[in-house]
Amino acid sequence: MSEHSGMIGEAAGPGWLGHAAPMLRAALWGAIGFLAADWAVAAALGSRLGAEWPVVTGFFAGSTGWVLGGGALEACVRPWFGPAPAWDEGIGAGRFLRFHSDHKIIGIQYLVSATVTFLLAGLAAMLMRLELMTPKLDVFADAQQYNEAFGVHGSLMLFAVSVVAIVGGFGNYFVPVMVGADDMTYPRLNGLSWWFLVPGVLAILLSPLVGGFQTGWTGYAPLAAQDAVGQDLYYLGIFALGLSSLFTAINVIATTLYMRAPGLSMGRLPMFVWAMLVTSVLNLIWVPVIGTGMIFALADRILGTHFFDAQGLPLLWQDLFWLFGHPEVYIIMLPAWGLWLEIIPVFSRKRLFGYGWAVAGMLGVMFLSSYVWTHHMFTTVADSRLVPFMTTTELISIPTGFMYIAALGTLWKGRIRLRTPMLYVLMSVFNFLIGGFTGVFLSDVPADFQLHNTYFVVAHFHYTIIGGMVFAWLAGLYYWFPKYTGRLYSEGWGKLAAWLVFLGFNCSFLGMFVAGFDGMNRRVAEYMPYLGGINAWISVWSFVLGLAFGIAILNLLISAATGKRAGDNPWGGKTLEWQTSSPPPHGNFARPPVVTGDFYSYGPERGVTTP
Amino acid sequence: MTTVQDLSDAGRRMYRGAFFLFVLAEAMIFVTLFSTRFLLAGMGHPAEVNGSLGLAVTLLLVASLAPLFAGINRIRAGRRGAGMLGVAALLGALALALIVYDWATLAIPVGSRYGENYVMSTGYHALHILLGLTGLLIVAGADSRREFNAANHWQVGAAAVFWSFVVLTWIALFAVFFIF
Amino acid sequence: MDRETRNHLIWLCLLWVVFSAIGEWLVQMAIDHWPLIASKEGAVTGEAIFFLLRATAPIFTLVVLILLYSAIRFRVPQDDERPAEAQFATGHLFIAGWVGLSVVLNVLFIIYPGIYGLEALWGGAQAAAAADPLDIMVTAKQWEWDFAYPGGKVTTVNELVVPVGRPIRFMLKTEDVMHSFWVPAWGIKKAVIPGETRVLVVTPTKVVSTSADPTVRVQCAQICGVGHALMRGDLRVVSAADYQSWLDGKTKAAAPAMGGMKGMNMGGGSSGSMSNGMTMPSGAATMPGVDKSGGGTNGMGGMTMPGASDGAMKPGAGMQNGTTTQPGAGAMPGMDMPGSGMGGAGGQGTTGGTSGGMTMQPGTGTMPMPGASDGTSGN
Ligand code: HEM
Ligand SMILES: [Cu+2]
Ligand SMILES: [Cu+2]
Repeated sequence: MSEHSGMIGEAAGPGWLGHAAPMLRAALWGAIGFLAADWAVAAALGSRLGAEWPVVTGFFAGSTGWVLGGGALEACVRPWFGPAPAWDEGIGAGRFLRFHSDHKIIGIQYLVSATVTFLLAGLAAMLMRLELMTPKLDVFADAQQYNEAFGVHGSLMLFAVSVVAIVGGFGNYFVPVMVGADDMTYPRLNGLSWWFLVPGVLAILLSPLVGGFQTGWTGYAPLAAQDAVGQDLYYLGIFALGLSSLFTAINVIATTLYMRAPGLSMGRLPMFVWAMLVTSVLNLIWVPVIGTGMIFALADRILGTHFFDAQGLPLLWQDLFWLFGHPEVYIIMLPAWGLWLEIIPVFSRKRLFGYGWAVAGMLGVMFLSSYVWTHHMFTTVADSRLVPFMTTTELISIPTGFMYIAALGTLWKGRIRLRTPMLYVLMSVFNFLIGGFTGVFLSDVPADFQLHNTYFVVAHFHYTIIGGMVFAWLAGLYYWFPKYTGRLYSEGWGKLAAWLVFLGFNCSFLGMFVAGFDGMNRRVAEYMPYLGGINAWISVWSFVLGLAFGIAILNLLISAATGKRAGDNPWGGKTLEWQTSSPPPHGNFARPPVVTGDFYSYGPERGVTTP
Repeated sequence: MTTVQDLSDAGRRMYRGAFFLFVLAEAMIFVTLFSTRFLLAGMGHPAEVNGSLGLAVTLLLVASLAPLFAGINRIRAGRRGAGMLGVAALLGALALALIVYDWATLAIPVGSRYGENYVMSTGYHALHILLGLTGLLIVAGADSRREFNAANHWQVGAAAVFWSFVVLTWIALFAVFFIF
Repeated sequence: MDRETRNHLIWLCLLWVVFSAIGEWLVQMAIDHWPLIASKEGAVTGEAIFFLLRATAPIFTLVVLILLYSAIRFRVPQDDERPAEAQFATGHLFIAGWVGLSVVLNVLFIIYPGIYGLEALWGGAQAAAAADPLDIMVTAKQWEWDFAYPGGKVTTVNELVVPVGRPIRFMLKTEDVMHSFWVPAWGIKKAVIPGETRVLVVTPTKVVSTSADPTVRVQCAQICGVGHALMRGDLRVVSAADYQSWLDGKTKAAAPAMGGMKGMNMGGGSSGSMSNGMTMPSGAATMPGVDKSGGGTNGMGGMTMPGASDGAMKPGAGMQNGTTTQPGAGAMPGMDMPGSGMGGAGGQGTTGGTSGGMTMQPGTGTMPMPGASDGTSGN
């Protein structure tokens, strides 16, 4: 074999085919795996191709084909069985289109896939809002289709965007750089994690082809048992996405604990790294639980067990789901807080306020978040569980408040530069405040008895997820844009899009609170005519929001191609990623960095970091 | 792990420590499985469970720890441990075979609350035995190709940690399903 | 504190007072235009929402104000890279104030409206159970609401008629998946769980109807499949007299079709006899443990057996005097009852009481509580 490990097309030079060959091979093997297994099992059982067992086995075979075809075969499996030639990791654009073990490549793969998934799931949201323009069913053919749409929208947004965009994207890209390491602890495992993500996304996205699932992202039993084969893809897809998160979590924790540069004590760790660490601990503990729950539920459907139907415990599913599901909302929010506290000092030119409090707050949230899950079940559980979980839920707002202490304390008397990233962060701080305060309403059991499962809840979680996390993600995309592309984005378009996103978001989702108060329940394609006005308002503004997201992302794409060269440190940041070139070289630093001071000192009299 | 990487002490410490993260995540699976068993089926177990078979699996798995540690010690001392690791894997494979036999002759109705938990937990565990065996065989193979030395063999340690975890969870499983 | 800081703080305070006042005014506007609240329970949950709106408005204002004030007042041109003059890393007064305030507010919110409101709801339900509640059996199924009224002869589908001013105890069951019983104007909802009977007590306070106000409707609030959005029923809250005459009329209309159904005692009727017959301890409807815990489930499983739940609430489905387990009911094929060992968990506390209410329905079979199981085994 040549140095290029015999990839078809490699010899033709780095044409696009050469670049994309591994990805194409992955797609081919994935498709072959799926179709072959699907067909074989269907033939063996005498069932339809779209039946349960064929699709489930097809998923496993297809995913395996995809992962191996992308290069995992040569890079991960082959070496276990004796000496093997090294896997060719490609050059230029080709690096992103194959199995790659460089954390920066993987980070970009994650960012791109999260953005694409975000747009696709957003498209589903646009369709849903179009449907809800009028009280009657007019866009979708039937309610089933609408139900499938919010299932795909919600599941993708949560499991493949919210918990992945910052952790998988920035976490992969920046944690090693920010701790001064050359890569993650397990680079190949890291490479695998992204390849597991893709089958997960596809399973959920394509589930409507086999009947979809109507249960939304929460998959409540026993409705789930009635659903079409799409429900199996929900379980399998989330299982795959969970595996992907788990691999990332293991790497982030290990890298942070074991690979820090000399002088970088835990007490000096950048806030973003703290956030990633805490998030990863939550992932590590709770993803296996939901994964097991998914297996139980899958068994209920394909093996005829009764874990979650009326013979078993329907509520056990809810417990298992929310045992993971609540920590998950902090898995979403903690990284966003990390971004707040990373960006605010840089654009305030001021020392981070209350570092210790912020870290304590993150740890406090981490501990408490595992003891609040029942607040999603106030109308379904025994009365005896209400008061304890109301208490823990409300208490979690205390450590959450510590983020605000740090954010506001740093802003106070700073020299604030309102560049696009900072704008997004301040907006995120504002939006999350609304999300958080409405959370206080929902944690209050009497209030929740009325508000649960209404549009108030829909508004609340969009305020935390879009308002909090997506705004922070956009902040990060703009903040680190010079680092991962080496170019500057267009500030004017950036700010314009930011304001449009802010306007569209708040106008539409504030309206949802009103709809909830007025008695609109969630997960409905049709509603009573008296709710028509407010829904039309919400829909129109949500189209503005969709457009604005488009502009924000387009601006990044165009700037990535045409932006001015950025230099190493355009914002004057102090953390390690700004002390290396843009983008960082393979291995991240020309010379291993040594940390001599803390990262948030801006006064001339303070010590600075020397790489 | 094609060739021995010469790791620093810090590197070895990292791989050793980081591997426990896998184990922690795996442990959460069994926490879920075992608590589900009690939630759904309560205390007590049907008379039909094959207790002697369960005990045999337990003994085989516990016994496999001896050659496992012997193998590691040999590698640590700079000698070949592949044979010993192979013996451990063999005992594990026997245990796995017993579990499969148990399923084939299962007297407990799979549709009962206890039965489905039993099958689910032993099934999940069998999967872990399989994973553990794969790990043992891979490091045994690598060792017979002389890829480890006295200083650098964290992969063997990882496979051993995982196998020990498999044995410990089986002991817990035995208690949960055969004793309580 | 230097002069400049003092000025900032004075400004902040002034603005805070002004904007808090505006905020409270907006909140008051919202409350004045609030959708209808038409039950005692709704008054409790509504008051909780109002209180939280009022209480959080000034705090929200304060945080937003600090944010906006800083962003505007401390703003510099966007390429000005000079460090800020003030470089403090902590501020004890601010932190202590923040932490102290958030702890105090949390404790306050947990007690009021949290625990206080819950006690009001529970207390009300308990009092209702002791007094003279009207028991209505609600069966949710894909995708309709079936209501069975006291006396056992009257059932309605997707139409609920209740008297005003009297506590109504809804016994909620589902024949298939999970649903949730919700009347927006009553301000409270309760999930309906397969294999269980949940109890919700509501005391309507206003004479209204769906046609007059669409928030007065029975709405499923838990996704339950294709028909979920339209799984709603008309609701009419009428005077006690109107209710009685409506019921009488319906009873008469139903009578010819229901020969042989004499002696059926499905609901307590206005005499309240049902509560006695059911041996439901007062307060059973409301107190902890209404839903199953642990072993209780297993016995309940029988209820979804083919034919088991079917027709549970429908007249003509062969109902007998419901107060005890009838012959045959316990002999459901394939019903897997782990016996009294499980009964301990299921029967503990008030769960037994609630389950007891269900033994009067044909086909629900045995309940996982010691008493019921005994009765069954006697068959
Ligand atoms: C473009 C902006 C968006 C619009 C207009 C939008 C709109 C909607 C709508 C109409 C629903 C259905 C609500 C219901 O009936 O329950 C929904 C559900 C949901 N959305 Fe969004 N959404 C947007 C963005 C997002 C984002 C960015 C996320 C998370 C990252 C997200 C997460 C969810 C989740 C988890 C659900 C629940 C789905 C379910 O009920 O299972 N959405 N959204
Ligand atoms: Cu939660
Ligand atoms: Cu429904």
